[in-house]
Amino acid sequence: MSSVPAYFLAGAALLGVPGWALDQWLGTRAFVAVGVLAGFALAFYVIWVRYVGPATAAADDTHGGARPARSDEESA
Amino acid sequence: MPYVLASAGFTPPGPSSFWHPLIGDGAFAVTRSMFVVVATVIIIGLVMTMTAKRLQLVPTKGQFAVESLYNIARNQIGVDFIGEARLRPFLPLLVSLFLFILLNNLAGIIPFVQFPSMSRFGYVVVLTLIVYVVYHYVGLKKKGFGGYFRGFLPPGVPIWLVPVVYPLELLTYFVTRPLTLSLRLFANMFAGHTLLLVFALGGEYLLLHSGNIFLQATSVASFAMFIAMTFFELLIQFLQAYIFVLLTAYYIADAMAEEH
Repeated sequence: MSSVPAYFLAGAALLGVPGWALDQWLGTRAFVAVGVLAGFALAFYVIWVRYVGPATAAADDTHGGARPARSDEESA
Repeated sequence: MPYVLASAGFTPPGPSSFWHPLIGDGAFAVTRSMFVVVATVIIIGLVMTMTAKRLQLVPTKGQFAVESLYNIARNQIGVDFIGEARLRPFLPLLVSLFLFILLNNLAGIIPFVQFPSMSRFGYVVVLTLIVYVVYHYVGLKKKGFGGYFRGFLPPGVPIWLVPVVYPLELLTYFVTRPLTLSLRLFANMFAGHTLLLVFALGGEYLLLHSGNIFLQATSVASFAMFIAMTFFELLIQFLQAYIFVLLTAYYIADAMAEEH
């Protein structure tokens, strides 16, 4: 959510900088773009893990099955 | 003549428009923004203490206004993100940050003051540093060194991804979070004020220096945009103060969170 820009910036820097260094070393131009895009993908993944996927699902489970209980009440 | 603006030497506003030394010059100059900052601190201090001294169960108009601002920082941000039980030690920070940033932003459109202090990066850096130290300190105190650093890794990441995800989290917590927090506020205030300057100075130039009746007529549009953008700035100024405090609360809550 609110720290999404921070993740994208970190992702781009984390893999973009090594990509740029690789380009300098090999005399190519493609690796910096590959690195930045891979960094964005990684940032998407981490944001998903934190705010949408397994982490939030696990947090919901620990709250103790509120949803089934409510559905029982409705049916009763 | 389409070239009239380019040829007649209109100086567009730029970063130099934000340098307003009032006393002296150079590194130790006393600038306009310093006066704004000191004035806002005095105003907030006076208004808050005077309101707190005469608290009534049925609030007066003034008390209601101050309480409304206080409640934005306390209830809408603090309680929602940090939770009522743990909010107490952070409440002064959140409320002070909100009022300070809000008033300094509003200074950008208050007549005769008309300078948003947060368009000077130094002030924003200091505010961000305070937040940075607070949320790391809170996390380290709550979880200890090992626990805090282990907590950066969100649960549910497969082991082969840990070597890339963990550095990403470290970079986010230590570098890009303070970077985005400070740049968001600074850039919004800087860009917003520049925009106002463009329409105000452009209108003035068209009206007084273009020497062409048709161009002088277009200055009306420029001034109209200046007024419209001033109201838009009011919204942005409020929003940016709100977002800064909201993110502060979120970072503190995140540093204390149990799950990850």
